[in-house]
Amino acid sequence: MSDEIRMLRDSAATLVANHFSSDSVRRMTATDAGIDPAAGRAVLEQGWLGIAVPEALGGAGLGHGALGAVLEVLGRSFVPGPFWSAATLGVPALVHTANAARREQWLPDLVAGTRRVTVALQDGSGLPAPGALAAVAEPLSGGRRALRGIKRFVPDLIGADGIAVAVADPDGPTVFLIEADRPGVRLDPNPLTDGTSRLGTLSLDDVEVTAADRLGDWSLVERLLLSANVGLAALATGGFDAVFEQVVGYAKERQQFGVPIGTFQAVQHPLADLFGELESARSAYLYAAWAVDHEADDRRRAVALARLATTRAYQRATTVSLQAHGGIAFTWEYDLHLHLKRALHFGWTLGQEDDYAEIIARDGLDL
Amino acid sequence: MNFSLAPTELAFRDELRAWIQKHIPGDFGTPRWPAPEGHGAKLAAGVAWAKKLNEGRWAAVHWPAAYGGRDASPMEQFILYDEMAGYRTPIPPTVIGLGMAGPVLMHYGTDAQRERYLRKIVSADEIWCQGFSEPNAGSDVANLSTSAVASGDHYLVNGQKIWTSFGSDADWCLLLARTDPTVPKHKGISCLLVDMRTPGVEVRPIRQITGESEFTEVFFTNVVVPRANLLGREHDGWRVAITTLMHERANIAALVYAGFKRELREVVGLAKRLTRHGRPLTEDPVVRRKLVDYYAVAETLRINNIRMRVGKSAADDPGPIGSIFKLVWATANQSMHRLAVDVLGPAAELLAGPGAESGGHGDWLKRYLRTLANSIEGGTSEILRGIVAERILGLGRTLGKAS
Repeated sequence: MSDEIRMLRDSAATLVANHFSSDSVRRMTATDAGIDPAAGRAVLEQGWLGIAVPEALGGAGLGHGALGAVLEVLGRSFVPGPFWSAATLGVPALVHTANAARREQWLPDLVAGTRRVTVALQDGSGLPAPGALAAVAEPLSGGRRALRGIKRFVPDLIGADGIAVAVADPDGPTVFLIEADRPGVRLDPNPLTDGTSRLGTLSLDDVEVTAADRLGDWSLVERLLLSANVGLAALATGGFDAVFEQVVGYAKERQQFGVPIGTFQAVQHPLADLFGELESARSAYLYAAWAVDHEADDRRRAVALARLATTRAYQRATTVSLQAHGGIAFTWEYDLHLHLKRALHFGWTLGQEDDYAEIIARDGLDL
Repeated sequence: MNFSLAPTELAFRDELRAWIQKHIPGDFGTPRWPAPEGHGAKLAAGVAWAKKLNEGRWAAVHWPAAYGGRDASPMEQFILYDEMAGYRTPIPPTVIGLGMAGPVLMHYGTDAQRERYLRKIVSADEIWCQGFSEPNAGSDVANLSTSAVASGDHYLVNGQKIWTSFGSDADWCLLLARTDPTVPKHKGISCLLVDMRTPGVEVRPIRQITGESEFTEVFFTNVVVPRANLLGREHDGWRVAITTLMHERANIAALVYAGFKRELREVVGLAKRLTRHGRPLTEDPVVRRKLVDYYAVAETLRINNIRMRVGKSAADDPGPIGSIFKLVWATANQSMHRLAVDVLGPAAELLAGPGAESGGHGDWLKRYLRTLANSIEGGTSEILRGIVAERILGLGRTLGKAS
């Protein structure tokens, strides 16, 4: 581990200790905003949003592996708030756009954490196909467009200053950047079972845009899916690490029949199998972060695999843990269900398992 | 974490690729590289392949150059397996010698022993087997009862070993025998190097559920083994055994990955060739999804191997991750082969008649049956889970393991 990554980890752990105890998280997630304003600002203003931004664009240029180190720490303690979407969707949208004017207008504030952009990709529950976007850009006179339609399951929509929205344009699938207060834009919150995450519904009712609002075509979406899913894999990895450490500790302490339950093979063997699954998922994540940072030829399928393996491993860790605990982990007071619901939420964030399995089927197996 | 290959590793890989281009005509068992029938001919093909590998100095890359190796790092050793995974090749009967007997000879052998044995292992002039398991010492190997009684300048060995790979072909056996029956079971064991042609050694093939015989029983009746053939200190054989199994672990990690990758390629090929209800099987969502799951296993086995090896020397402990390979692989390999026979249906079990051509679909059921041993051979999955739970997770010993 490099010194830089160690320092990032340490500062993230300090921030979590100061603001995000499980009691605080439970209190924050019960509010509409989902996070305490001061704590939320603290996360966004650490300088972490620029970790993977190239130095030439005012970032630290440390890559997705380093950003992942921070996300792992946040994932361990189910830290709520929009950091993940801001860092792995909003910031990269303005980094990778060819629209220099918009980049200059937005990126410095996004990196500083004083403004925030989210990305609206989905029309329904799955990952949209580039040729089948439901929301459209209708041509108006003078090269202007009117955006029309509904984008669903938009991460951290409420409170975003800007939204990069993918629509079907006569010129092909296109991403436009619009301000949240542009006329015709409506944002509706969708409270979730997973209180640590926030989704919203974006309604576009003849929102007028021009070529100046255009960020890119479908290749930009593909890039965002890489950074966002490596980030999601980092959160999931941190999450399953925390779950696993906790349940192994519990198995050593909890006594039944006069001995720790961890000495029973019926408890040991599922945990041993889980260890194998978690280490394999961690491998998939570490490789994907490297593949994205090094633009490796296999990065698309590597990221799909990381996304699939880590979210599934996170889910498995929570359900195996629940069973190993017995009744105590079924109570609202016990923290495990916060991880469980988050793990399930991750499984259908930015598309479903099947969407990513399909990327592997085509890209990895040539099926 | 850095997954880039170092310049030396890239050079190693490129040299290997060039050698493969020149010396591997295609998959063994296809018309481009036909496989012979019968035990003797198969063995000869394996020996020929082992000798060819040695000519290119690829037989034992992780061994010191002095003994025919390349002093290759664990990462380079993995590169070798990864590149070879692209081809089906004969099974070299030297695997026990290269992977187990050789490394412990280097670790515990006298200079004379190393001189005598190591080069002939690399050159495939001598084949080794391993005499650890017994009928009453399977998972509990230390319970072994084969005895070696010291008498003058030799030991007199009596007892029985089982599940011995290459028993019929081996020149030498790395044998664990009890030299002191009066002390607790781990303490009275010694490791002997036994010439398989010594009078009193009798080898009987075991016929397995596939109908084939890969394993043997080896009986020892008043077998005279010179004292000079003691490996390590007397009564210290358990330590030798543990070292042997440690060496096997890194080897197995690469071996199971390469095997699984090769098998996956064949199962995917099968799915691409077959149709169901007039549509390619690869369009069946269930088959498609399962193939993706096996791809995930192959790929994570690959990355796990790299994580275990990057920046490590041959002497380093592979760390906790080294324990999971065989466990993960056994389950996945069984499931993948089950998919293969499921998609074939009755074609998988045809032994004769139309559609049952040799090397055709009927082979797949045999291959599936063979995978059922994957979770038993080389440490049962139950034992491996116990090792992970006890040694890595620190969950403590289970009841019944009082010793």
